[in-house]
Amino acid sequence: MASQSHAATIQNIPHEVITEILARLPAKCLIRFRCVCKSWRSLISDPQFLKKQLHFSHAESNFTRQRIIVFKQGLPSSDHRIASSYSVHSVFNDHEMPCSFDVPLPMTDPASIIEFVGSCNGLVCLREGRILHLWNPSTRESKRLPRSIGYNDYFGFGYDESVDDYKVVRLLNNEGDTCKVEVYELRADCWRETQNFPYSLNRFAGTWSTVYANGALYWVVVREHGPEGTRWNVVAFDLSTEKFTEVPQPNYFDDDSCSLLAGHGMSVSDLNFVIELVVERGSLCLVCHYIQCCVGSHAGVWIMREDGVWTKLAKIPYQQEMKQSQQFWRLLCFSGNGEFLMARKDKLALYSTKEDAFEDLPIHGGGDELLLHDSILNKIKTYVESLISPNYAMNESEQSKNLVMA
Amino acid sequence: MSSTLCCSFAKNVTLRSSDGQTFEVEEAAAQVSQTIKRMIEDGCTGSVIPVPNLTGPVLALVIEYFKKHSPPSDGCPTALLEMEIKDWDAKFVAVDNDTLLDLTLAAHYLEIQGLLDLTCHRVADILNDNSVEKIREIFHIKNDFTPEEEAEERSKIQWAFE
Repeated sequence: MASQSHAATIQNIPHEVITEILARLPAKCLIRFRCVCKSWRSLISDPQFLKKQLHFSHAESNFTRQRIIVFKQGLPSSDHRIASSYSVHSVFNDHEMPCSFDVPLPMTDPASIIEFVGSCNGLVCLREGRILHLWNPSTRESKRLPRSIGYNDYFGFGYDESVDDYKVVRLLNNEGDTCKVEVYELRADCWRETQNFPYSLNRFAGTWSTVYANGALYWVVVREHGPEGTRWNVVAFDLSTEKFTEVPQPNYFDDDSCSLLAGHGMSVSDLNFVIELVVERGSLCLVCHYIQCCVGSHAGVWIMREDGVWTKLAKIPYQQEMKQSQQFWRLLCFSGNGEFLMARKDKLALYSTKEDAFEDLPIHGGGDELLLHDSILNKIKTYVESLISPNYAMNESEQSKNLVMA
Repeated sequence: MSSTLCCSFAKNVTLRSSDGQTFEVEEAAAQVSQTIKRMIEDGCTGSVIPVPNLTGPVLALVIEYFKKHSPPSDGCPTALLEMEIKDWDAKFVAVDNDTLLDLTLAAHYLEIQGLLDLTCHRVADILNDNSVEKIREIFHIKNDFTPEEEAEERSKIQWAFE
């Protein structure tokens, strides 16, 4: 028997229950639903609601809220002021990157080049020459950060839960073996200096390897260039304490590598490798590319568990010998059942650990197949759909104004 | 005070809906609801437990949910059992919109987190693909924007309607 005719309508459902329901909806749908009625509009703008919605987006299984964004700059046929957003869900479920939706980039000069700085909670930090932008591709809101930046500066972008604020960290050239550090706080909308970073800028491995995970930013820096090759450090910057620490690294010379080496009469010191960092579902991951190695070029992938211990997830063999970093497969994201989405300078591919095989993944944009060009590594990034506004502080003050009036 | 001693037989409680229907259910199963659990702990077990926010048909459905989700007597649930419960859950909320909203409210009043997650997710799935007009219609929501206000709201986010 169906329920009574005076059945519950949304009108007589308590506010908490409406919140529980709407927080489970994707961002684009909620943007439309701001037009349903006034109470929905204010709920869908409420900072607490936005956090709850973000929580569900992160928790969503099957990658339905995870997206890949690609800049089309440098491609002759496409509008470089537009970025394309693709579903990670389709990648892992259908092995396809179907044409998704395009979104205009926040640019002050249509001729400039845009690069990624970082991605956190649905906000993407972009660099346009000497300007930084915070941008939410899901809501199309953006904010230009104050002050101009240097072309050689390094950046990181993340969230400090202890003060509920987003921060951009800028590393600038300094004398000696350090660099100056400035922190931008979104609520205050200004920059300030903090303690120096204990490595000089020329030790940085590349912007690709700057990531945010669990309240800290991570960079890969050169520890030493020895005769046996380059050795690396992973350095963390805690966004709350603003202290730098060195992160212990996994054992790159594990059984896999050592037995291969021994078989070729080589020792550990003969191994040449490059490391990079990736974040998957909030966990810090590390990829070690073993290069110019007679045992075969390959990559090892580790994930840092909650207790700080590295666990090896996969060994990904390259199809050919890698000599330059340009030829590496870069890891974008991976699924729970052993599929790794990898990007190279000219294409994307899925590597399956079960089948030990690569499958090319053509990506489509506006009907034409989109060929990625050389500097793809700064042109592609993953983000989670959210409604978090780059005008973060303003939301809050509007909110308190509403409370005073109520 | 005897509740910890009587493991050998299942102890029942009686629940009474807003329209006076009564249902007998195992105490352990009813404790899937945090609200009922507290009432039992406060010593209401001797008499009938009133559930004034739920009508008989809705309470009957909730009791089905209790029975499926009561903790197994022999320890940990197996993976197979979890799969079976997941399938059962999906069928349980494949109901008409009014019943679904009644169940959502029941989960809220009776503090049944699992059922609240399940029903809210299902309602969200229904809302997801619908237009603003359809949402107002399904859930009987009065549009309190003036035509000018609504046009202005929509013009700001035109792309989200494409």
